[in-house]
Amino acid sequence: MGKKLSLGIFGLFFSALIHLYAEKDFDSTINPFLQTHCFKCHGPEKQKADRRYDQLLHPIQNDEDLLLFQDILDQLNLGEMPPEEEPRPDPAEVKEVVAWLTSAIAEAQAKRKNNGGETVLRRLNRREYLHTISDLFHLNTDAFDPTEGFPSDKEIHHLDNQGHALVTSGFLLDQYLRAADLVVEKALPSLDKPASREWIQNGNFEQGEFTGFMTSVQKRESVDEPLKSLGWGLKGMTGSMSPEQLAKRRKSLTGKFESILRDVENIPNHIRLYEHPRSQRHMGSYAYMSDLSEGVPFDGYYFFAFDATALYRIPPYEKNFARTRTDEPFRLAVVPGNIEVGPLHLPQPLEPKLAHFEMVDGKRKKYHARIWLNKGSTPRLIFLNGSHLTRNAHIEAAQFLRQRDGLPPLSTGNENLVYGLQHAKLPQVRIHHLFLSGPIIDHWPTRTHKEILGGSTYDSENIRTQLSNFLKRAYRRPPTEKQIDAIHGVYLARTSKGIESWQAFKDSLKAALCSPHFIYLQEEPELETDNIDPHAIASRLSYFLWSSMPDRELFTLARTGELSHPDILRAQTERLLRDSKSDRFVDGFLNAWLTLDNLGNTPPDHHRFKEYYMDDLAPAMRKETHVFFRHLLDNNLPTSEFLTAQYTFTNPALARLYHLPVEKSDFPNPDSFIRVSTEGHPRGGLLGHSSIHTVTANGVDTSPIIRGVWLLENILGTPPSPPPPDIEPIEPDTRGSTTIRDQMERHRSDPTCAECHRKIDPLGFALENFDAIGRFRTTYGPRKKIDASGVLPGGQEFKDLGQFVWHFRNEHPKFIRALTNKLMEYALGRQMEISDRPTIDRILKKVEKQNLGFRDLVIEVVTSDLFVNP
Amino acid sequence: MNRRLFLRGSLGALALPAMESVGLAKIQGSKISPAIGNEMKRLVCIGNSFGFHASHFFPTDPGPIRSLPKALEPLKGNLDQTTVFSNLDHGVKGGHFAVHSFLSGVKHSQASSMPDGNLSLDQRAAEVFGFKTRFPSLVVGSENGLHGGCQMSWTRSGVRVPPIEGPKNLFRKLFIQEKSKNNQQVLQHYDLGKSILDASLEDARNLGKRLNGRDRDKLDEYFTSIREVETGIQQKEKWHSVPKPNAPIDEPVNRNLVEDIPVLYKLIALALETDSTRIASFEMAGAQFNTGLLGLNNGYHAYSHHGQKQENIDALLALELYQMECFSQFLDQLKSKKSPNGSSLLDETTVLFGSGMGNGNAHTNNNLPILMAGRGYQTGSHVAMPGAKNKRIPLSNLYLSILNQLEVEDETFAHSTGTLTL
Repeated sequence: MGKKLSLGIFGLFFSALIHLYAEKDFDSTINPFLQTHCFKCHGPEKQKADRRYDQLLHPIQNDEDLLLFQDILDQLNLGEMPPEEEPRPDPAEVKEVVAWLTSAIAEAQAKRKNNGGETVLRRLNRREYLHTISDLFHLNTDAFDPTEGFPSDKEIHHLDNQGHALVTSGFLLDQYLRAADLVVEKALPSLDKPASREWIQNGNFEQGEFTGFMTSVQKRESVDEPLKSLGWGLKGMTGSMSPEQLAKRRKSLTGKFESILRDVENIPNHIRLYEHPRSQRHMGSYAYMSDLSEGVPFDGYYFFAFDATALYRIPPYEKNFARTRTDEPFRLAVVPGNIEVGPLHLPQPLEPKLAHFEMVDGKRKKYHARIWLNKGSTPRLIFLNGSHLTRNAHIEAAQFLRQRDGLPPLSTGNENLVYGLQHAKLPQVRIHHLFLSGPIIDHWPTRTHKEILGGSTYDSENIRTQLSNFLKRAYRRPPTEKQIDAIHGVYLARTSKGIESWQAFKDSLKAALCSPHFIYLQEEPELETDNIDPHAIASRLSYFLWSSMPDRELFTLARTGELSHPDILRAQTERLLRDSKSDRFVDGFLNAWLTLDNLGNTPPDHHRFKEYYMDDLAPAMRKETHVFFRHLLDNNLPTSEFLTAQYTFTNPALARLYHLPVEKSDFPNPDSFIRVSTEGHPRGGLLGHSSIHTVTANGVDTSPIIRGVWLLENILGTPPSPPPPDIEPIEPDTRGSTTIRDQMERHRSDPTCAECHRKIDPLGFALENFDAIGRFRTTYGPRKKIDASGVLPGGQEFKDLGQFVWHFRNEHPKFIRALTNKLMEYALGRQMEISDRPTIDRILKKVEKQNLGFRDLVIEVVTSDLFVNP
Repeated sequence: MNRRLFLRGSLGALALPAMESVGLAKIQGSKISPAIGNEMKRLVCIGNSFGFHASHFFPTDPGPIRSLPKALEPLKGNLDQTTVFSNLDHGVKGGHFAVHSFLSGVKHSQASSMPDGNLSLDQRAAEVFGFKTRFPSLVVGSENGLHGGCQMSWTRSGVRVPPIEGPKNLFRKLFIQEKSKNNQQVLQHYDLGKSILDASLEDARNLGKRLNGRDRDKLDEYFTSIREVETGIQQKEKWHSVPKPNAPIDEPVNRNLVEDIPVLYKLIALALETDSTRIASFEMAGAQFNTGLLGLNNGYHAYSHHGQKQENIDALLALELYQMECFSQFLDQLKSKKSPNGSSLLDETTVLFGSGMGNGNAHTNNNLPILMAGRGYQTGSHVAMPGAKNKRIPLSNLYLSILNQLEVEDETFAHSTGTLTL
């Protein structure tokens, strides 16, 4: 229904209401109420939380006042104001005031000119750019990231797609030029089919840090200088040695390592994998063809094969020096490596797993897989469940062996290391033979060629047509003649400089990728309806649920105009959600809503939280929350289940972390996630997810303040006020306090601090039973018992985590409002403003009344008026 | 039609906000006094995220420093090259969220109310004399680190300068030539850039005709960006035929911040020595400040919230000593390197070392740790500015003086009320 018609109906409705509430008018009834109960703290003398209510006028004059009125209404509805210690107002009076406020606000909203809440020209953010070029050119972007040099996107409340904050700068445009070049040249490398080749390596391999060891000793000199002057040694490194000592040491080590390489066990003729790549050292983390360091010459699928022997899974000693899990078969994976990025024996930023292998013990066996490789990449094998302290393991084993065999102990760590490598039977995989052939061309010309060129042959006579076809998709709407002119102009400029036609054509495609029509989402209103046009709706929908450009079906529906119909929108929402590309929505939204983009930013301490690294918990934690979110979405379950679920999804490692009663055999394979009941455990629902516990800790310890604030901001949508500007900063003095609760006690004894902290601390305390990576604990250290009790702001007491979780379910109204607001902000690419409130209220009311599930909520967002408004 | 001419014309056509045109005039019209002798003036700004513990940093008495505060011990050999300032700051609040105002004196959220936005000291200098070198300025740092790291350098359009992260990248920028393309190919590459920008400009003009209000402001960002990239291409073309200097050291590997700091200082000194730039900024922040390597168990941030516990304060001192030691060795390097005209680099370089964080424990941004070294500040003394509330001098006054000494004859910088001369 057109906006004008609905406004008319509102008008009629309200002229009736005006009669009703004008009787209780503002000055005689409402203002005195505010005076009695609010002005003391929110008036001329004090303005707590920066709010002042004694200067309000009716009729409501402006947005700021409207916000304040809404604020008062919210606090009265929530029962949070006046605070408990103040005299309670008469409930009948409160009811009257609430009713009056509700009508007054609704009237003001209706009368307001809708000049707020407009989406500003919104730039694609970094990940949207990457997905878009992937879809536009059918490029595999698992290990190709043209956006790696892009300056980071500015976020608003962790949302990375808010138009207002997404700034374009010279730095970024420079990167766009560079990226466009990389993308187009990669997508359309040549008109000729590449020839297939083979590479084999049987010996002369490079062995991890042994080869790199000498260079690393050299390079550490630079940091030895400052430490030497300070008189310190750098833990675990060459320490404060004089240059002469350093040179002598280097010489002796070179000799020893060369002898290993030459004599014992023929290391150069096989590579040994000892450890998983996330360990701190890399003595044997990657096995690769040193003969193919420069990588393959073409993008494509390749046949990769290798011979390997898995040894000593169960070492023949009592002690498991390597601390590996002896009950699992060895598992390897293939990841790409690019020598331009860094040494091939060290981790690199982009390491997607291209294939997995489970090893057979003791025998030399052949393994193979078909893998995708980008030009310049070479395949590398990694040992997924290897040790994470290889160096120490070998040293310990050496000491043990020498003692056992009656030999005198060796003096230095390195000598023991060498002995251990020579003699100890510790878990390892030996790679004897590596083979690669390809590229395997399934289709020629490639899908990309066909899409861009509309066929196999490049037609130099029909440049303009081919460009127009490309721009239709690149600009996400049919291009105007002027827009085609601009790009065609680039083709002509290049050919006039002597560049041959095919190259000039590619150059003009690059120009399209730098045009504002590509990098910005344009959402201008149509003249007749005040809605954005169907192509803009198609883009808004695809960027919401796929973080990428629309597909053929969406383009077609936009062209015919059908996409504007709510029924079609609903059907398309469901279709897009069913497509696996909607995982990008889940990831992007979780990053913003639950701040999971921070997961991994404060890596936990290696010693106290070994399993975080050994079991690669960070991606598993993320996945738990992802799978849970998807589960509620795909099955259209009620949003309350985010808080009340008595189950979760884990892989074996996470189940171990949570001490859940599952068997390894319950899992199809070590990486799979299955649904696990958490009844009887303090988990289930978001509050039990280790992803949240980790992201709200700092890698070393927990802070109830940080967790409390996080819950208020993200789960409840009621962020605490910032500290008042005129308050003298407190210099925290925590000497003499023992547990963190003691320290917080001192914060609470000051009434000024207590004002906000009574809302923050109890939430954080309740979660103290989860440590910095979400492990359950009942004590800090050996003896200090954790006291997770508290009082919720509404007055509800709880004595432990279980009770807290139980009472927290009552916060669902705040929870779903916060969730809906965040969904809308993510979908529209802008922050919610006061004029958006009626739509949000309507959606929430509908969800409550009709018992709608989570997927329905998403559909309500898409079919709301806000979604089709500019 | 010559689209580059049209670019200038389009400024009027879109009625850009006044700020923009003032900025341009400032850049174009700035006076640079002719160099005296062949002096090449340089500026280095160094900052960290968590500040310094006050008692470790500020000498107790004003005047010539007789007893060094604990964290400044490593400066023993370079004392006569430095000056410590106390009671200076920008009058901002916000703890970690105000640290980024260290070099600009203005929080990003307040930038729109200032004529120069939140332009930082180093970038202002770069606007004026950056054109003299291949790199107008080099910003070294990280996008990671607590709350986005130090974020020290800002352009006049309110954009944070993306820092060069890690010794390897800095090394490559300074010494590695682009992969061997022949001359013809490189020039064609720049030419392609210009053609693409022409098309983008044309598209943007046509688009601009249909937009209103906030959308046009957004598009202005795009226009400014086109201008900046064009200027950048012109610079690159100019320097294209000049080969980069030979690398005197091997290409380093990125490790972690603790191990990288000395390497980065070395590279910055080399950058100045080879005149690759005359303005360098170093944000000492990043994801991996491996305190474990210095024998500590907790993180830097955790220690900065010492809660007055002595063991934490001692740990903090260790971290501060390490930074000071590396800094002192950096000064040694500048002292030992020679400028083309014979003086030492240090004699021709103004060095600012400090932080946008005053007290890390209380999250306040007043009384910032400010240590000057090199040209203009070789006094060996502690200058204590007035501490009383209504008598305080803005830190921007010092920055204005620094700019003037670098022969940038501005009259104000951020909220400055005048200059601060010794």
